[in-house]
Amino acid sequence: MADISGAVGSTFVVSIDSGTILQANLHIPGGGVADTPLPYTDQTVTVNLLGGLPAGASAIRLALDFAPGDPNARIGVANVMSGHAAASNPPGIIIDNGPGTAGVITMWGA
Amino acid sequence: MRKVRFLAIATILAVAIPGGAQKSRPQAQAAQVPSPPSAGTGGPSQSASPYDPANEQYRDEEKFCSSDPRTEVKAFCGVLSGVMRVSIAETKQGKTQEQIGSLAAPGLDYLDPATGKAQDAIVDVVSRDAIINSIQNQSQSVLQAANQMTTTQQLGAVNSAAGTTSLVSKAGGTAITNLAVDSGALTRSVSGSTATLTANTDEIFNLLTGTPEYDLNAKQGRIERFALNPLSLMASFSLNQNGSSTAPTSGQASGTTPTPVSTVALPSGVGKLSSFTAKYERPTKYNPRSKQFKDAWKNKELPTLKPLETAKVVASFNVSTQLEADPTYKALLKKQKSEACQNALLKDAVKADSVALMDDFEKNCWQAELGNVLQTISPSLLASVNAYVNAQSVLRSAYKKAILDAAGNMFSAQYTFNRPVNQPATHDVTAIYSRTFEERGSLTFNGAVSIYNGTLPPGAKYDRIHYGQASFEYDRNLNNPTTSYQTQLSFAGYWQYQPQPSVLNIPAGTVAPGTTIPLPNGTQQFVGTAGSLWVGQGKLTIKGPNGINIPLAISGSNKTDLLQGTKIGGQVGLSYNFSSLASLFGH
Repeated sequence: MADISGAVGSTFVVSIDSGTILQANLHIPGGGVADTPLPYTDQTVTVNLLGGLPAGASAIRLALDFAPGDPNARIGVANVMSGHAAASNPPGIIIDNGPGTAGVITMWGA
Repeated sequence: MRKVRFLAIATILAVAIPGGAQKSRPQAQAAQVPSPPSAGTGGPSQSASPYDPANEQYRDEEKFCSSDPRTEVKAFCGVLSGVMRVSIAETKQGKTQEQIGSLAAPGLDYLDPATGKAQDAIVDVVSRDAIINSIQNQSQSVLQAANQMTTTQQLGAVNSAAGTTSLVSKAGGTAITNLAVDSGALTRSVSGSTATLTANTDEIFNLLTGTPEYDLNAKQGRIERFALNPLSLMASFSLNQNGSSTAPTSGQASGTTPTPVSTVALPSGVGKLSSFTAKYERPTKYNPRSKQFKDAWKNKELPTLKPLETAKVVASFNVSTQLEADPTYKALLKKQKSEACQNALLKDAVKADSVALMDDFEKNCWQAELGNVLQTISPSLLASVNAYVNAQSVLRSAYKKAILDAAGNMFSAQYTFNRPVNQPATHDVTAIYSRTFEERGSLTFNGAVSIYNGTLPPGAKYDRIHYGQASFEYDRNLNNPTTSYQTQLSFAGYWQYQPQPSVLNIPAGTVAPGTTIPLPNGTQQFVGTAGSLWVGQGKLTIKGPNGINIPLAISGSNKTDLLQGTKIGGQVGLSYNFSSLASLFGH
């Protein structure tokens, strides 16, 4: 089950509720193309590049800082600008793996 | 047996901890779209996450997998037990397997390599298991690099030794094993050379028990955290302390004139133990939820750590990209799920069969999805893993330092049994306080008292207290942290007060000056003066890669322990950080 599912081409803002985002890239698994940087704030990432949500499997690769004592992060959709996108129920998680956590938000475009 | 134990623990928790495991359900149902983040504070409901690795209440439940010999099972143990926890709680609520599967989906997704969710865990296991020899070498060299950067570590002999470059004792003991040779005295009148071997007791324990060292992700138990890891031991040997012992002769060997010699003096005592030191570092205490710590972390430490964290994550994703080249794994990634893996795990969790859960994770998830790619490690994957391990290790040492900085200060207590040449042995107790100022260096303060060992001789004209001292040292690295050689600049000041002059032992058999008359019994004499002894020192320490340190120092003092008058002296040393104690013994 993908953390976020939606219509191909949708643009939206993904949120996490713990940790601090240090870097965000769009990744197409096995696609053989370089990851694409996405705009981000401390706890949100905007999927609005390359025509929005790709078809099939894709992922947002995050570099995260979890300060000591931070809980795991839950993944949600804070805002949908166009099309349709929703978070899974129950929400996907990014497990706090300490400093420099490599977080993955899986997405599915249909 | 494991299954029974887990069920019992889960049942106990369900009763003893109101809302413990059960809390996950309402939280999960209500969180279809999590509300926007609230300034990083999380929220009270988050502490009930069944997969939270920091949640102490889950530690006992993880016992079924935390000691499993399979690296991947151990690495995913927290989430394996989390899935089991959710399943047991929901089964009690009468949920069907399908409903439980939906509620446990975040955990099942994490355990399924095809989702790519467990990025860190996968890369860690690949790194540790697939090319373990390479990893050990890398992590050890990076530990040496971490030691190279620190300015709060004691490597050579203590200041009272005949050969030392350290005027002030540092709060930090050695993380690994260190051998140092120092020449030149600071407070002593008689200069010499001293060899000092330092080892951390945790490492000695690892050596004796055969425990692998430097597991980058190892969680430490209480004994390790509070007893072994903070304690380091140091033994100093005087290299040029010549002594002699007498032996009877058995007749003249040559010559025409008889020369009666009944005894001769034989040289002995080179390499004598001159001091033994035990240092205990108080484990750093901090409250990660305090505003002070959070502010220090966000405003001071995070900007410093950010490039290292990002580098580690980028290296981690590079490993993943290499794994994705495998056709089997790639096909599963495109589906974002392995039915075989997740269905098997769910079935085992619903049956609360922890043994089957671990076995199926190993067989249907790990081996089925990643077995191919891990059978033959490509050179490019090996290169990526090496880069990842380096980045991870550099980050870990910086992270530990960041916690110390954010938490504040460092305290140590040190005991030394001192056996100076021809002087009474002493017990020296030192309190050490260190404070680091990030790239601006560190300050170390010492307060110490020295008392004479054993019973004072009859008619002694001195008290039990030998001296008290206070001292400080400022240390700072001069180079950019990325350069392979580091130069550390240090300035130190030392004040010692002695209520009586120093005591010199004159051993039996010593010939009285200007005569040939040997003293029949040993005696003690006061030498030097009572009062204050001041020492100032400037020092440069060249810290090379591979654990080699060369301290070069110059000092000035108003007197020394036995002689009056100012003294300007130089000290030089050489120390080597062994990557591990075990390697010395061929392990």
